[in-house]
Amino acid sequence: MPRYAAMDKRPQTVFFPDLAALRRGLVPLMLAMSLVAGTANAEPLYASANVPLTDAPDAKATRLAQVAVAAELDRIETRDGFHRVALKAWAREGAEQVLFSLPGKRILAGQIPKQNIGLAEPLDSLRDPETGITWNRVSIEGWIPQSAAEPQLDSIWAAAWELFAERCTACHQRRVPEHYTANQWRSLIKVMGPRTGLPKAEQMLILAFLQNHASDTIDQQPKGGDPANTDARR
Amino acid sequence: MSGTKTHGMTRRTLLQGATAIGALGALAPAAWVNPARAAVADGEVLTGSHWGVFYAKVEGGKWVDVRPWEGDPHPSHQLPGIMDSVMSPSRIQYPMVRRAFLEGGAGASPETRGTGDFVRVSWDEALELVTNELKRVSDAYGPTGIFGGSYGWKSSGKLHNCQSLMRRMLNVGLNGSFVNASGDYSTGASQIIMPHVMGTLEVYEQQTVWPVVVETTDVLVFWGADPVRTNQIGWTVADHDNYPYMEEFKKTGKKVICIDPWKSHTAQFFDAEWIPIRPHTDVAMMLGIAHALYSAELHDQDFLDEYTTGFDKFLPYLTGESDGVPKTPEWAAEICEVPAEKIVELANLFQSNRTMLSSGWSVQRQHHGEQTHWMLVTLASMLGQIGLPGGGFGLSYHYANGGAPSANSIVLPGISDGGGAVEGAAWMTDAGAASIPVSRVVEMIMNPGKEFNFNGKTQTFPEVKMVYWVGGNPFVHHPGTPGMVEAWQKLETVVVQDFQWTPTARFADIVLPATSSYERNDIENVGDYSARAIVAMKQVIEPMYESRNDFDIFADISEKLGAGDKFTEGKDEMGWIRSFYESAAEQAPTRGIEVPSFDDFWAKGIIEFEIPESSKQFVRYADFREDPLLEPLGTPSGLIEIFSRNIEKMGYDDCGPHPMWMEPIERLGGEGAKYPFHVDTAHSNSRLHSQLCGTSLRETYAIAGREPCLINSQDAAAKGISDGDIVRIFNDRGQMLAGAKVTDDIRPNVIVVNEGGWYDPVPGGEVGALCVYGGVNTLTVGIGTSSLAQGNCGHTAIADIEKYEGEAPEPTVFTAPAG
Repeated sequence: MPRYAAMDKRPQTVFFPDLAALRRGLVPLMLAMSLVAGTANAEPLYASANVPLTDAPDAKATRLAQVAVAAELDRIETRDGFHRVALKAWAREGAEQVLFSLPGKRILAGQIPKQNIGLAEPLDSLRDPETGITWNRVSIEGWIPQSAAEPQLDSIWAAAWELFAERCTACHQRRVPEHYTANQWRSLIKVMGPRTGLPKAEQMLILAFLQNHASDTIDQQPKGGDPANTDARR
Repeated sequence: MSGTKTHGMTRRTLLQGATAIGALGALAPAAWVNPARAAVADGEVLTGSHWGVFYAKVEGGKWVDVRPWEGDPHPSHQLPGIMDSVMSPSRIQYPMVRRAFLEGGAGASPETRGTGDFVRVSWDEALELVTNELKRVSDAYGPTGIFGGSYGWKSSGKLHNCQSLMRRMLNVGLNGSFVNASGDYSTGASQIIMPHVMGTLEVYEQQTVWPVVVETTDVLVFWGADPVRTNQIGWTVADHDNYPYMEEFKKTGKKVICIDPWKSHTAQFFDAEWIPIRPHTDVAMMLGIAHALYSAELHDQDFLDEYTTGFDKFLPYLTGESDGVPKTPEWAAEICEVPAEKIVELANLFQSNRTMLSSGWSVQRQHHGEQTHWMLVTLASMLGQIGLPGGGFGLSYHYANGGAPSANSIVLPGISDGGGAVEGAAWMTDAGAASIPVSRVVEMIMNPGKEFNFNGKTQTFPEVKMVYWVGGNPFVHHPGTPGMVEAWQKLETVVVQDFQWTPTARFADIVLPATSSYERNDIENVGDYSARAIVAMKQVIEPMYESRNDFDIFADISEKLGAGDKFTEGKDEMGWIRSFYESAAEQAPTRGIEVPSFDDFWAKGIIEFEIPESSKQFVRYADFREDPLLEPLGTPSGLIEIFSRNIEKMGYDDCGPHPMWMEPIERLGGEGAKYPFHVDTAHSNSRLHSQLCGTSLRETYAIAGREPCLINSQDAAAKGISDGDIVRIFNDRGQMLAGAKVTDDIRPNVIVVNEGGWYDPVPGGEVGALCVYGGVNTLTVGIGTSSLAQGNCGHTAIADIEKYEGEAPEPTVFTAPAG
């Protein structure tokens, strides 16, 4: 089983968008947000990177699964610089390794290696009457470094927006996220992402932003920040 | 090269000094005068363009000759036209303002737009006018008063991308207060319908590569596609890599079929079987083939079961069970004028051979254009060859050399539109959300506040009062030119920035002279799909007359709006070009390649990349076919959607839940068709849309000084028209002159006038004026394809033709207006 050094910042292994944000001056904001976050249990957190979910609060711990950037996580406890979290997400029957944040909308939430699928606890099940596909909701628990999660999506979306606005207007006009569905964006970025020349992790961040602001998901996003939030985005 | 450097430094130093003290007015106009001095006095300069990489020869500071780059396997014959465009009498020499606008202010006598009454002004005065108008309109009408959705084939180059630069100015200078546009005029319908059907755009994506097609395809079909003609150009810099493969395919002697009203360049090149279908009836013909397959049980039910959804819901329509009309070959033959026996023969041929159905975009650039590629995919699904080498369908073989294998290369970023710097969360603000489907621009101006459907949403047209157009020529590319003339009269202010007096520039209030690509430095990838080189687009000659770089013009306007530093980010032309290259070079290690330093690259002029063997084996949708569960399509079902519940839920009467034949608003042979000819508006062989129409290249094809009109010999005889005659083509929307070319390469009842001829109205500015050169969009329909995609219908037009007996006014659109 591969072992991941959770704090390893080599970009080819694990990517932290705060590295990208650092270049764009967003780190102080993100740090500030992390500091004001409380420590109460069962609060939602959002992955700020594609990050391994490990079996212990330890950089040398064993990887159980992979959490995708912007995935929502339930915080169970926090210690030693790590959060214990539960990733609750949906998998298509027959393709249990790939977890999505909504049934039928392929917004990547995480991936579980085949040998670890047994660790995922089944929660509920749903058959989409339109496509006939059965989606199973599962929960998998483990540890992620504190630095790889944010209490709010805003800072993650701000970093994604900058990348999207900067890199996706070089060849064509800026596309409107809600002109396409979450599933369509996944296929579009599969083709268009490599044309940005960005590292894969940054392409995935853009994809997460677009999928969460797509025609069939936009209504689930919190609308309009208060002025303080708006200012903070700068 | 030292000449370039010295010049650049001098000019930039001047500019920086001026902006630093915030007093452009201190500069005498003389500082902008740029006599035609050369960047290099003598020698050859390598540069790039939409038409390919080439050497420009300079003598005594003048550009005198052009020759293709030795790495181009099939150079375009249009290269000399590029050189001529820079020197042509249609160059915009100075900033100009419409007289009534200058004297009476914004909105004064809008009917004089297009009459050619301009007054020369200084750059200072022009930029002051533009800036004041941007501020005034923004203050008076709010965030949706200005239209910044400029569209068109702006010149190649990652920095001098005038459209991004303009939006950058509007984003940093006006905090993003402008209406943007989405989509394009090429694939408006397909890029919306295909994501519902295949989960992705299709039209701009790599195809099963040519080496695989040469090896494995038995029957190669070009359905409304002419790759030999259209692959001359590329969005970045054309590589022309498809041409040697097309030669190879031809040598195999395998079957090629062209379904097209015109015996196209491709049909002639391959000596293909030509099926002269009646225009606008492709869906009917495809349905006929589908019916023939189904009734002979030749369809691939296993493929349909495993990889598609909704065939069972489409079937009652195909058989006629649901509407009482079986879509038999005989039914189709009535509509498309391809004999039923031929339709059955094609069904058998396609099914019994590895068949690649490659389609162009003309068939979707028409009323109900969404249906065509949806039905093509349905047909390909019934054949069951999608994802197999050399089989299935392809929507980009004709564009930018789609299907040319990709190199292992680094990718250049480019100048951004500055949207990341907009204050507040731009993705949540009104201005950020104000974006119209690009071809609805005239409808928007005419109907502020009107609701319209678009891909499942209801949107409202904003009230636009000012248009700033760069890098495009809507008075040529927009279907229904008379409607655009009328709409422009409702605007208060129109600014156009270009290097030639295009028809669009003639309808502006303020005209700013920009440099051409060859009077500035830039950088670009070579090969949209192959990406097999990066070229230094080095400056060939000094800027002509008073032309200035788009970057500098917008930097100055931004400065006046208080955001000069945000616009330039402290970088000049070479600073930006270096940063793009160095950012791309960071990708080299992960690709396992080494690239030279920027300075070495720039000195060398071009770097080329290896094309790996794996790229030469790429088969589109092989991954999906291998594992549809883990490689699902981006549709709700993850499968090919022959029936779309998402579209069904939209409830549109002009786009149903599965592909179907729907009568367009007008067509040849349609019920109540008022005119006897379809007007085929295919691309020209000697232009990029309207680009290079204003050059000496025109002399190689114009007839009686007009755009050619291809007419079948039977039709010509019936109408008393001879080769070389001036003809008038007309319908209820407009009228134009053209020069007749009598040929049997076009089927009866169809005439061809290539799109892109410059609109030259007499009298200028009048809505129903006679276009005396031959801008064919005077005749086409301006409506959207349907509620779904709202694409343009540039191939929907019927008209009549007659020999023109009157005194034909000489075209004047190719020289600068007086003033």
